[in-house]
Amino acid sequence: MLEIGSFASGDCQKITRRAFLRAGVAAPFLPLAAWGASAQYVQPRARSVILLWLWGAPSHLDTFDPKPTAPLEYRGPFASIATRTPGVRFAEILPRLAERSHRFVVIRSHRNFDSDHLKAGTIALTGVLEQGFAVAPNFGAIVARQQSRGVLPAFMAIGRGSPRDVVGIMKGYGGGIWGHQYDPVLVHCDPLGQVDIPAFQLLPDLSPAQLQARRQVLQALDRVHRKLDAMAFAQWNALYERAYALLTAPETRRALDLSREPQKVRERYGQTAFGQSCLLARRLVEAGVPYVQVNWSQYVEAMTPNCDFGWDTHIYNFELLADRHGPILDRAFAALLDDLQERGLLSQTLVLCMGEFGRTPRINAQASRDHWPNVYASIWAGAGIEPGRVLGESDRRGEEPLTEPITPPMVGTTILELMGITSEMRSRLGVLPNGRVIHELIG
Amino acid sequence: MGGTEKYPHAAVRCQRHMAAADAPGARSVLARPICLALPVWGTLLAWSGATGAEPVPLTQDGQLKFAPVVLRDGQEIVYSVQTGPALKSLMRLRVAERSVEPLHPAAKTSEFEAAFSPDGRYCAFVQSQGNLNLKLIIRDTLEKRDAVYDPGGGFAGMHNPVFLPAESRILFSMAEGGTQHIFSVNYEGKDRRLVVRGGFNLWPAVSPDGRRLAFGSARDGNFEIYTARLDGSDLKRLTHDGAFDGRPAWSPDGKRIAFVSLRDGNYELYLMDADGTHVRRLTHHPERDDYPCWHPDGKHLVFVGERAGRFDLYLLALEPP
Repeated sequence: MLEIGSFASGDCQKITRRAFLRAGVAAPFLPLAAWGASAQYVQPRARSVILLWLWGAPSHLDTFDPKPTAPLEYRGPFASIATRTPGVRFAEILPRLAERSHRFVVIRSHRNFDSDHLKAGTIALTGVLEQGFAVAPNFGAIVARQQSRGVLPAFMAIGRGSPRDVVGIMKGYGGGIWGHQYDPVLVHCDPLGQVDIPAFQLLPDLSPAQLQARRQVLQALDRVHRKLDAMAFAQWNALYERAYALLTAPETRRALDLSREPQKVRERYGQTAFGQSCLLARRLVEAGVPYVQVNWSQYVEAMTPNCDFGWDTHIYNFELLADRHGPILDRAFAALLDDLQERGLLSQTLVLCMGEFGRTPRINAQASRDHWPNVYASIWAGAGIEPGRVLGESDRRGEEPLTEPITPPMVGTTILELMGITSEMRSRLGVLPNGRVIHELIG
Repeated sequence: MGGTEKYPHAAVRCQRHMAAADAPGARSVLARPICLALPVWGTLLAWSGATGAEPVPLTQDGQLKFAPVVLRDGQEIVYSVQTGPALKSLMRLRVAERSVEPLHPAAKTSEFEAAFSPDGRYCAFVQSQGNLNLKLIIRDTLEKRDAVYDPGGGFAGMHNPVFLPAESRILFSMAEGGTQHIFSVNYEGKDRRLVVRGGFNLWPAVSPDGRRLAFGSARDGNFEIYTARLDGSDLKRLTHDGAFDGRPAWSPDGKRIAFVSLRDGNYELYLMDADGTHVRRLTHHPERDDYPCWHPDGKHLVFVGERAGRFDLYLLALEPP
């Protein structure tokens, strides 16, 4: 098996979590050779990336890796259905995606290294666990640093706010140790396709038209400055500056305007925040944004006051997946794949759908599922991915990988490699020393 | 009044046509002249058109909707809807005016899956009160007082409350010990009793005569529909399909059960006789049709239909039995 970098993937199951994390934290200080002189060149295929981030962690058994022959206390109450890929079955709540399995690859042997949402989320999106204030940059931030294009932000996130839970924020959401200038520009899209920019929420007294009048904006900024301390203002100002550029650039204003889409196209994605956000993501990559992360929710929690129905289904797992989450995901993701394909964009857009880990194969006392980082599933499509296949395998109860675990550093390395950010570039940036490209994905 | 004359205490899950009298000043519909309902029914019938016609939309906002219940002889429909990014609310549709208003305007947290007692005095619903922790609220709209069934701290939640017509008790499903049971409590939220155990059991619906319970269960592998006596005995499996069958709704005359199934690859409405025979498909749409709920006339179903990616309430005229 070909490998890139210093991480001998065959040994992955043998290294301890602590060793893995140490290696990750040490990454910025490793010598260039650590990124591997034996790096194999992978033809960059992706012009853009769309990451559908299923925050809260969907159950792999109840979505893309059902276990129909496992005992009921493992397989759960959903039946499985055939997909378009011979021998591959999905949970019955995802019929549209099952019908489109020829467009993507399912990886069923992911492994993360922490069972806490915030930590696992950071690992999943940076490849590295944070160590205090030392937070590695998000994969999108790395892309943004290497591939900034004109006035368009290079890293955009669609959602209500940075991913978090009721306790705190997930640190790996943005630029990390590189600073807030590499954070994603956050836009929010509601079920009707109305887009707003949360960075402007501190300027409630300015209309969009006034935002283009520099003097009025400066006056408003001055008022904000007086409200915030210096550090908070600096952080907000960095976000604001890019958001301001976003709003005042005609091409990005066009990209953010979903009313320009034919009604039929908007309907395909469904009148849900996630559905319209997926459509917005397509418009953004079409306009040239290199990296777009669509957040299913801001909060992980599935059913908690003031939280926006994430995938953390410690209760109501089967009810929520059948009633709400499954149908919304199925419709929006299927529409995105079809739309990208029909526009000729799929071949140059890497589409990835995953959460931070899976959920316990054995059903818990609340007839639901808890956190399970040992194995979980993801979907990859476009940009040279050879579709219609399953990579990796979990055991008969969905508890452990039977094949080489696919780790977050591998995910990040593959994304970057497909975006043309080579091992040499990664070495110079000091990111992801331990990853290898998942060559098996690529046709 | 169709089947409701035959079963004067009828209050099946999707046929609570008596009253939603929890609004300030509202009174039990039993005290209202019955003729008040007739123009509304006429309006509904006019909307729904002839048997076999396309379902008629009753709402137009397209918001994500769940679990409708028909009240006051069809004058009102109460349903759950996602009204904000982090909020599910109970809404009341006044059918004649086609106006929609919050059932509980002061609610600040998610509330959903409402059920109403046969006399309309009590409303039971699920309320989100903590981190993955939900309570069953039993609201006495006459005394303006809430009783709470509280399963305790930690992760817990219940589903699908429904009133028993002949007893002052409420059925609901709730997980405990790794499986999902059907329990009952009294109107004080106390005296919990286990009604149905074994596997995953959801969506209890009581027959109009109050003698049997229909529910969905995965006890034999995947979600199928069963009936049993109210003590859980005399279990009978009604559906036998490899796909999801759920949300049974008993017709007002007690002879038929509507349900939703994925057996044709999409959420569609089906109807069968109460013994599980004569299964027929009611809807044929590439999008989702779900949450069947009987109109008290027994000739129409209200359901949540997805059309062009939007979720609205629809009225469907049925073939005569």
